[in-house]
Amino acid sequence: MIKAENLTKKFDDIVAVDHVSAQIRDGSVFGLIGTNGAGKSTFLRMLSGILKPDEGTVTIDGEQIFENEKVKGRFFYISDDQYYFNNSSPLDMMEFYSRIYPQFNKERFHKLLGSFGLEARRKVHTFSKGMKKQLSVICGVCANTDYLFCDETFDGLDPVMRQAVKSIFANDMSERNLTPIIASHNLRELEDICDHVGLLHRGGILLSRDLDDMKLNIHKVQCVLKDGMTAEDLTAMQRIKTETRGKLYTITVRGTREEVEGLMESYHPVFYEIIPLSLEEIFISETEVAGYDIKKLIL
Amino acid sequence: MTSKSLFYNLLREDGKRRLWSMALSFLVFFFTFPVGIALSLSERMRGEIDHTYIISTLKSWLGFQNGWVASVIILLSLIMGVTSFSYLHSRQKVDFYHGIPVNRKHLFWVNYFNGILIPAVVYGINLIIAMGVIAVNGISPLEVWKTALSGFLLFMIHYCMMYSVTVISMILTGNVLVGILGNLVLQFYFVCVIGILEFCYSRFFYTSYRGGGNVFNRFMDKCSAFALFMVNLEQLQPGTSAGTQAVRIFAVLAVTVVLTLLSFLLYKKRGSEAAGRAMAFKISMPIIRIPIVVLSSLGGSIFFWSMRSSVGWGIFGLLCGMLLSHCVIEIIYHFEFRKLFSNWKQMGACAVLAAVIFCGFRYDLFGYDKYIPSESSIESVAVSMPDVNFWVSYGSAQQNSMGEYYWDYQDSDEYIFNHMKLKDTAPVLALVRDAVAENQRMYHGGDYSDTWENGNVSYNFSIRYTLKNGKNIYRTYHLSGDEARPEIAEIFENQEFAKAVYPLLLQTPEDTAWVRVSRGEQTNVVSRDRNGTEKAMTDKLLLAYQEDLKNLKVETMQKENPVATIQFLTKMQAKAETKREEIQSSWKYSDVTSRGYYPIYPSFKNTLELLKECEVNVEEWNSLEHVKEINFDIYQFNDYRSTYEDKGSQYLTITDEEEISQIMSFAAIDGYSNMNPFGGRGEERVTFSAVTESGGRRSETSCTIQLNQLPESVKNEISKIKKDV
Repeated sequence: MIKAENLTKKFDDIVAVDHVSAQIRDGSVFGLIGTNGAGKSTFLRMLSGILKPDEGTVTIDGEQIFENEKVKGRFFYISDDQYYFNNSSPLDMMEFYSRIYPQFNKERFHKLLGSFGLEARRKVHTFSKGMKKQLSVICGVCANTDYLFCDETFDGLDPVMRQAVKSIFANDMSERNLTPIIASHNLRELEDICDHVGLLHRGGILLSRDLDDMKLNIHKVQCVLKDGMTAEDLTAMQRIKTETRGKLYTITVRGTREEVEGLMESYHPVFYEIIPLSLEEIFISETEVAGYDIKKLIL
Repeated sequence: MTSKSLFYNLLREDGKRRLWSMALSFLVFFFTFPVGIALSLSERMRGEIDHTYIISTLKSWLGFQNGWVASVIILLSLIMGVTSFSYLHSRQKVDFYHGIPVNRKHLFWVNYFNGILIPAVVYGINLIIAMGVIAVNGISPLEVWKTALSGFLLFMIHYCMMYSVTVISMILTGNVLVGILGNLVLQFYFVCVIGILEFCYSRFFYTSYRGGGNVFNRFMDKCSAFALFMVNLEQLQPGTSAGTQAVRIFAVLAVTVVLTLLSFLLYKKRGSEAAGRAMAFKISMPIIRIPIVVLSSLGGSIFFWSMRSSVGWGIFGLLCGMLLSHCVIEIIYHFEFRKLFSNWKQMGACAVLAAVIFCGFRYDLFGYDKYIPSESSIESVAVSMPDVNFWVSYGSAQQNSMGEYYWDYQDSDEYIFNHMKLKDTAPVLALVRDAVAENQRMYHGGDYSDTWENGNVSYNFSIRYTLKNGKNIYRTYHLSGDEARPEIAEIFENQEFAKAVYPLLLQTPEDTAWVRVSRGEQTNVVSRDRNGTEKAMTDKLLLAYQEDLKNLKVETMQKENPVATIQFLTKMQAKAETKREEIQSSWKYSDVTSRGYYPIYPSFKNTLELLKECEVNVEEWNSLEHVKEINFDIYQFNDYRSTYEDKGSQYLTITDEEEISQIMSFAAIDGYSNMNPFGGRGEERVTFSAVTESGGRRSETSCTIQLNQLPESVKNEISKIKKDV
């Protein structure tokens, strides 16, 4: 398990990460969401031992990461602008990484290169941005580390490749308990892959929750109430947000599906139905409660 | 994976990344050694030049004295240092290297050692190929391998030292260009400090010691790795004592170790986030900027002051230096033009400090020129007077490894200061007090109305005070006045002074081979130790001349002028002369064999008697009866403003016997008059040609005489000529 406690990093007068704490369970996908400049990359760079925190600690299974070769061998860091040696080919990179990561799977590397349609001997500098991203993911996956830190890795990948990468992650998670930590500014990219999401804003973490918990505890109800009743009369419900269109109310409420259904039944509405929330809607609701306008933060 | 195998794996991978620098190094060394030597040998062999000469040429090319290899080493230390650690300046690369499971200390040592290994291996391989080339050309590599190996080792330790400085500059900065600029600062800042201090010292301190090289030069090798390398190139050569060489090599190794450890420490302290910034450590920004701004301000003020000698221009220069350096550095630090006046208070403080230093020199705030050690604190003094000894040759004839003779020159002050310890300090201090008083009046007192040459003779003298606490203090003074004032006469007639000024007085009969006498155009060997036959006379002549020279008084020199010169050739000079005669060359070794002539005054009775015994016609030297005619070349009376016009004869000819007699009684042979420091230096002199006839043979001797010693009629003629032109 990766544990960050009170992580703080300043660049001169700018506080990039401000007392952030988070726990990342093994075998789950941790999504790190935030706008540009929110501190996602800085957080990941501290996680991968590139930056030394000014305050706080970051550990993997209780061991410090910074300057710890053994612990650093348990993860592979894919930066938002991955470096490849001058004039190198994917094969050169494979050779290098295989010397650094003892478990590097060369066979799989060749196989994945073929699957993604990348030429092994072609110079990397002739690759497109997306192809370079694909190569970085292939290198990262083939390093066979416990954790994979991806900084904006999906940015630049086309939808087909994005799905392909997600399926590789899913496969590795089930086969060898890989734990990907993915930083992105795009909620929609993470929706169908993340188990846990942390939302960073201006260096601080706004919320850190399991996606399932969030989805199970928040619901959207569309209903038409009895004559003379308004949404304000639904006092037993923990309303987060209410929208009115004529007699049709769309209400976002907290609680399990059963609790919400029970309460709605008790108010004898003319009509009601519970409809699913997207990750984006969940975040909008949660952050609005926290006093932020999520649309201005993300999307 | 063990750390050791990881280290070698990284070393190999890093080597792959730097193939271009390997190729570049290989090409440079390949053309320097195998190709350079092959070209040199093919030329030499065709010319059938002496084997010793070929070996000597090869040694100088393969050894530490090769200036071209020194340049290559400097360039490579910069290139390899930059390529080894330039990844620190790119965030992309830093993320890559610091994100992989490799400890930073491993990364540092891998990059550091590869930067040394690449040139070392390439240099070594090319030396081996060069040995093959030498063998193919019929020369045994065994004859030069020691020189090649020592050259390799010496160049490589200096490379490591220079390379470490480049590495430090790269670690201290976050941008390649700033890193290279930083390297220049580390290598040249203190060299510039020395240069400016030297300039200030010699320009503003009128008693600063001007002889024996620059005062601050002895600190040069402590200024930077580059400066140490340059000084060592000169010092670590055959001829330098083994002890000195060992100390210098140890110093290079010690500096390299310290710099390497410092660079490692800085590397560990350096944050990855420094990539892309100008400076990696915030604390280093003022530490580097402030000294540069102070030096630039001082340099600017001195530059403009030296152009116009005005305080206004000095202030202008100070402001220019301050603003330019501070603003440029701040712009570089922030990569932002609008930040040019950041830390303006520090900028002002730097200018004030520079102004204080400038005034310290200009107005002698610390009393340098006024300083005279107290008489009780002085152990001894040594005085060097260039006007007395400028014609004396210091040094000795030597033979190099190739059998060639050369004159090993020694600085006159160095020789005199090493040989003179005058306990009688009173006359010296009396002169010094007068010189200091005159200095204060004319320079620091701002009284520029007088000049040194105003109606008096001016003379320089340098002094080394040896204090009782063992400290040596050097000063040079300038004084105007009577050339034979009592204090000077007292110093000159001090036997200790003469022994230290004239090396001949310490020359032994054992080291003396021949005696030669020269007068005018004629030079004769009067005693030649051929098979020991004339050795006794040579020894007697030497001792007699030494006695005469020691007893030479100022009063005598005021009355007489040298009539001839005498040379006591050392054994090495005699060998050079013999060789010269064998090869029948008029110029070869003339620099060795023509040195060491001393004046013969008419009052040198002991010498003259012995010369008579050697059948030298010394009587003729004082005889006037053979002078038939005196010719003054009238062009000597033209001043620089006049233009040449043909006004008839070029000469003013004197044939009157009485006038000739009067002129010749005061005249001195032109080449010898300067050997007499008390022969009326301050007076205007004219030269003439004395025509003699003896046995039907007519010859001319160039003579000189004070204008006021000429007969009235001749003086009038000369005045008329001067008016005409």
